[in-house]
This record gives sequence, C-alpha cells and structure tokens, in this order.
Amino acid sequence: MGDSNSIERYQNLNLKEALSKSHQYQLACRELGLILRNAYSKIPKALQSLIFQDTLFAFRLLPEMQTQAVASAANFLLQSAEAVLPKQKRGLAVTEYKHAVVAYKRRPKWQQDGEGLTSLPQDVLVHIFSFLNFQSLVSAAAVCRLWNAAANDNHLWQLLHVIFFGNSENFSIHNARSSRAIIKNKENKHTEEDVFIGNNIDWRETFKRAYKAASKKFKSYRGYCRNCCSVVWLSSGKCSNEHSVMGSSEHRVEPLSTEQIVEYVLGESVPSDSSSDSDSDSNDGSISKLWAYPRQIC
Amino acid sequence: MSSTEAKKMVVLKSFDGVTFEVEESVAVQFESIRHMFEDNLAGSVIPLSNIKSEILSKVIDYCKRHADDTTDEEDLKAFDADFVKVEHGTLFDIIRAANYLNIKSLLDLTCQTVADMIKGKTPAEIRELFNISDEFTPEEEEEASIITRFIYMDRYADC
Repeated sequence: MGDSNSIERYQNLNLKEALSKSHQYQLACRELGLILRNAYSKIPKALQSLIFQDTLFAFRLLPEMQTQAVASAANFLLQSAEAVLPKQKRGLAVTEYKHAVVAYKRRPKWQQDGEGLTSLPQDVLVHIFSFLNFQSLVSAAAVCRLWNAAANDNHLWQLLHVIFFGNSENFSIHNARSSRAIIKNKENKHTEEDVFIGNNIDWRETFKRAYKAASKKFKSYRGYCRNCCSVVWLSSGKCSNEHSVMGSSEHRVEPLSTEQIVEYVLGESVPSDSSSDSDSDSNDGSISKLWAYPRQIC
Repeated sequence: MSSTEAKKMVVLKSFDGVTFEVEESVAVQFESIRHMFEDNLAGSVIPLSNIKSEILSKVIDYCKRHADDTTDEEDLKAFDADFVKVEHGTLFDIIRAANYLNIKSLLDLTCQTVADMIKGKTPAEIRELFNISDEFTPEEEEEASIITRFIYMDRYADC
C-alpha cells in the first residue's frame, strides 16, 4: 500500500467535515480515536501527521458543541491520542484538549423563559420534526407529551417510510390490505390504534415492522456505497450523498462497523458482503421496548 | 427592479402599534394577506395583531432581501445563515410569525434551524436546551432512558 493510497482512503472518510457538524461530532471523534489506537503505528508519516492535525482540530471544535455526550467522545479521543502519539505531539494534544474542555464548560447555555418551543402550535412542531432523522424523531417523542403527540404524526412516519424503504409498492409484505389507496389523511393524523385506521395506514406501526426486519442495516452509521465506490456516512440506512439514480442506491450499500473503518484505512479489507456478522443482534429486547414506548398518552 | 412609477405601498401595523410601510413586492410574500391585494387593499393599514414590532421588522427585512432579485444566491445564503443566529425566544417568535403570515421559505428556514439543534441530542439534552419541564411519569421516564441508550450508546459498545 502506497502512501498516497492510505491518505486518499483516510480523506475519503470525510472525518473533518463530520467533526464540524454537531450531530456527527461524537461519531467522528470515536472513529478518529479508534483509528489512532489501532492504525497509527502502522501508517505512513504523512498520514500520521494528517490524523494528528485532525485530532487537534476536533479538540478545537469541542466548545462549539451543544451536547453533553461530546465531552466523553472527546475524552475517548484524548485517551487514544495519549496512548499512541509520540511525546511532543502528545503534549500538544493534551494542551489543546485542556483548553477546549475549559472553553466547553464555559460555553453559554441558551436558556430562556420556559415558553418557547412548547408554546408552538402542533402543526409547526410537526413541520420542525419533518426535518429530523429517525433517531432524532424518536428522541423528540420522549421529550414531553406535546412533542410526543406531534412526533407521532402519521404523515411524518409515512415520509420516513418512503425515505427508508422507498416509495415502491413492496411494503405489501406487511399486509395485503396495504395495497389500498393511501389517503392523505391530514384530519386523521393524530389517531392511531392498529396498523389501519379505517382505511388509512398507521405509518408508525408499518415503519416499525419494516425497520425491525432490517434493523441491522440501519444501525450502522457508516457503509460502503457501490455508487460512490467509497465509504460514506449513512443516513437512514442509505448513502448520504446525492445520487442521480434515485431509488437504485438502496441495495448498493454495505453497512460497516468502526473496526472495518480502521481496517479500511490500513488497506486490509475490501468491503464485502460477509461484513455484517460482526455485531450480533443482542439488543432485540431494547428495540421492542423502544417501540413499545410512544403510546397514546394525550 | 427600480421603476419610475410610484410603487404601491402597504402599511403593516404590529401588535404594539408600530407601523411599517413596505412595498407591495415585499408584502405579497405573506401568503395569508396576499388575498387582500386582490381586493385592492393596497394603501390601507393591515393590522397584524399578534406580531411584535421587533419580530415584524425582522420578518420584513427577510422578505425585502428575498424580494430583491439582484442579490445573488451566495449572498442570500449568507444572509439566511446570519438571520437565524438569534436567541431561542426570538427564533420561536419568528417561527410563529412566519406560520401566521404563511411565508413558506422563512418557515422552512427557521424550522430547519430548530431541527438542526434537536438532531443528535438525547431527550434530556433537548429538554435542557429548550428549557422544557418534563411531564412524564417515572415509568415513562425509564422508557425514555432506554430510548436514549438504544440510540446513542449501542453504537459505542465496541469502544
């Protein structure tokens, strides 16, 4: 493996860009940490210095992040850096980290008078939620009752279903009855009991079933896209890059674990179909609990 | 865009009584009052009884910028990015106003902004960010924490 190759592979990961987005920072930090830990000693000097720079970059961005979980991700990165970096670089990284943590703790907390989002009309909340991905929507549903009601909006789940599984008629696996026309049910959107409300489909329930059936695929946040021929960030189980060929991309993504990302940087593995057996589906219980949750409470 | 003939002007009056005189091209972006122009209401005073003057002036700023087709797209993007860098309370007021006036692009911009704040956060973090007191029972709370673990921790089981 030539120098330029591994650098190119590393750059393909787009870690720097992910670090600057607050919702990807944590994942990117973990990934960078694991690469440091497991690959640093085996890679060419030029790439070592690139990764070192990105580590410093990650620490510098820490104060701008607004979640608490980023602190532990940055800490993980620091530990990785301490474990593998040579003395001088280690010193620089530790200093940068300390500065970042101080700034992070002093970051202004956006507080205001308790009104705010809770007083927004429900249709506006639904509109806001329509910009969320699946995980964030589930998270929003657990914030308060008002949000729960808005996040269970049938139309939102229909949109998600289209994003995840495409607009095709092939969701008939759930029920033969689903071939019925989908009625734009703005009026009925807050009711849900079973998969069907009268003639309408309960999209949350439909989505849940389809998701459970394919949960392994969607739990990965990295994958190898055959359209882009590179490792990409997954969004809703799909390549997050825009493809000109819509719809055809869904079968062209192989989910990857973080270990496989490290191997990829080292040039040890070509993504293949046998990739997905590393993480077992041991958390089925929590998934069904998750789904048991947003019941009708208003 | 400047024409020599007198432009039709519209007067908007905020909740706290401040009046704003704007060109018709700006006011027509308010979908909800556009129909008034068909009745030739231009020239009269339109009361917007639930929008504060502070917010109304921001909304008008936004619409002026977006009505001006000499601005290039990059500038407009930069303007939008700057426009939403306000306190939460103000942002929500703008959302409410955009919803009331039915200005789709502004509603999308502000809602996307809020959605980006929510993304990647746990329920507890969202509550803290927006200062929402939770009204869940301990049992429901327990389930919320399962959700949190499910979404944010499982991924790191390998670390």
